[in-house]
Amino acid sequence: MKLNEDGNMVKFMSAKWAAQYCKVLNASQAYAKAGETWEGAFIFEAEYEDGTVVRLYMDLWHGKCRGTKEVGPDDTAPFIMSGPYENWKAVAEKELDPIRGLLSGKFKLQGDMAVVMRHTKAAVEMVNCIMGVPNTEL
Amino acid sequence: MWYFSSPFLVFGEDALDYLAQIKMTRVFIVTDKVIREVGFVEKVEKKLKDLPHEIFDEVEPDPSIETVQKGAILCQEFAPDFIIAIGGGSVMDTGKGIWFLYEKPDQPLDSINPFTYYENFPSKAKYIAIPTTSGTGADVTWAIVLTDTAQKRKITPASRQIVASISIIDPAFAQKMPPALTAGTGLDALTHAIEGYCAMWRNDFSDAFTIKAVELIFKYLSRAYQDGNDKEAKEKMHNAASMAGLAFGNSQATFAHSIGHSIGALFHKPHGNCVGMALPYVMEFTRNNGTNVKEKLADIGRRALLLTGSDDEVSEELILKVRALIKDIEAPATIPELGISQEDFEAQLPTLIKYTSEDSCISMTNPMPNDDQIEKTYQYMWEGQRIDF
Repeated sequence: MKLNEDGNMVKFMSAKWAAQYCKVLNASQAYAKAGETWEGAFIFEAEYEDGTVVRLYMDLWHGKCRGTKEVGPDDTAPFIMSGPYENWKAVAEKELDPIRGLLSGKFKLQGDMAVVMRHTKAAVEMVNCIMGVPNTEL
Repeated sequence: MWYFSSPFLVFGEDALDYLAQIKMTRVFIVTDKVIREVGFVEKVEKKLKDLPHEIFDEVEPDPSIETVQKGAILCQEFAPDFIIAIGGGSVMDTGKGIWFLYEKPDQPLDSINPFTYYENFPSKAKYIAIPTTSGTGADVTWAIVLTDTAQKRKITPASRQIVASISIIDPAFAQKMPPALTAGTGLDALTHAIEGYCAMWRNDFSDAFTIKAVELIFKYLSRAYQDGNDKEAKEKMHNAASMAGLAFGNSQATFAHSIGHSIGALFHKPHGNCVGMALPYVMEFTRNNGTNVKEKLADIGRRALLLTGSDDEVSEELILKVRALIKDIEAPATIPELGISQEDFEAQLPTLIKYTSEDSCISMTNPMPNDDQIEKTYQYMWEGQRIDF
C-alpha cells in the first residue's frame, strides 16, 4: 500500500482508522447490500508482538456502521474476532481471506459461527472497504 | 496452512464386497424409493447377511430439513454403529445430516459450520457413502445441501468432520443410470472440477483432482451417455465424479453453483442440469473479469485435454468444448431448455438474483459478481447468448 506523500497517515487498526473505516463502510453500496441482514457488533482484536492488544468495537447493523470506539479487555460484543496484527495486515493487503483465516486458525472467532458463514459476502465487502480508507499506514 | 479432507475410498469392480470386511453390528440404511425399487438396497443387504438393519427410504430430490430430522429420529431409536447411504446426492447429503443429528441430537442442522469443533464426533457410528450417480461427489464432500421448505431456499451446513468415513465407488451402481441422468450428473461433476480449479480456495491437492477428473469426463461422458452398457465409460465416470467432488470439496464451488442452487430452489430442476447449463456462461464471465482466470482455464485445457496455443486460444477452446459436450449429450444449454417458461422466469428473476447473490458459493467466485452482473448473466442464459461483458 502506497504511503501518502504529505505524511498524514492513519495507523491501521487504530481508533482513528476505525472511525474512517466506518465512514467508508457507510458509503459502500456493495457493503450495504451484502450486509443488509447482518445484526451484531464486532470487536476486532489485534495482538502486537510486544504484547499490546488493541480492541476496536464496531457497531454493525443491517449494512451500516453505527459507530466505533476503542474498548478495553473486559468489554464484549456478540462477535469477537482476534488475531496477530500481521494477520490483520495480510487481510488488508488481500493476502489472506478472513474466512480462510478463521478456518486455518489465523484468527479466532467468538460468536455464532453459523451466522458468520451465512454472511461471507459481507465479509468480502468489508475487506474491500479496508482499501478505501485513505492514508492508511500498515 | 490448509487442509485436504477425504473419506477412505474403495473403488472399482466389486467394491461393494468391502462391506463384508467391515465389522458391523447394527446398520441403518438411508436411501430413496427408486434406489430400493431397482434392487440396489437388496445388493447391500446381501452383503450384510444376517446383521440387524433398518431402512429409511423416504429421501426425496432436494431433501428437506424435515426429512433429515425424521430419519434421525428413526436412527436414534435403532441405535446403529454404521449408517450406510446408498443413492444419489440427495441421499448422500441426507445420510450426512442423519449421521450428524444421530451423534449430536441437540444441535440444529443449520448451525453446522466449519469453525466449530464437535467434540467426540463420531462416537456412536461410522458413515458409509455409496453413490449411485456419477455424480454429485456428495460421497466425498463435507457440505450438506438441504432445502428449507418454509423459505424455499437451499442451506448448506458444512463441517470437515462430516466427511464420510468410507466411500464405496462401485461402478455397478452407475450401469443402470438412464442417459438423461448420466448426462446431468456428469455435467455436475464437470462443473465441480472446473469451478474447484478457479475458486478462491484452490490448492495443489484440489487442482490435481480437477485435472484428472476433467480428462476422464471429456473422454468418457459422451460414451457413457451414448451407450449405457459401456462398462469402461461408466466406471471412469463414476471415479471422475468422486475425484471432482474431492476437487471442489477441498476448494469451493462458485457462481455456477449459486445459479444452480437458486434455480433448483425455485423451479426444482435437476441440479446437474442447472449447474451444467450455467457452467460455460460462468467460465466466460470469470475469464472476462477475473484475475488470472483465463490462465487457469488455459491450464485446465493444456493439462487435462492437451490443448495447445496461447491462454486466449486455449481458454476459448475449453469453453467451446464444454458447450459442444453439453450439446453432444443433449443437456439443456439455456434456461428455456431447462423447461422454465418465460412468464415464470420473469416473475422469479428478482428472487433468482437475490438467492444467487446470497448463496455462499458466490463469495468464492473470482471475481464476485454484483447484482447487475448476476442479472445480466441470467438474461444471457435465457437468450443463449455467449457472455461478452
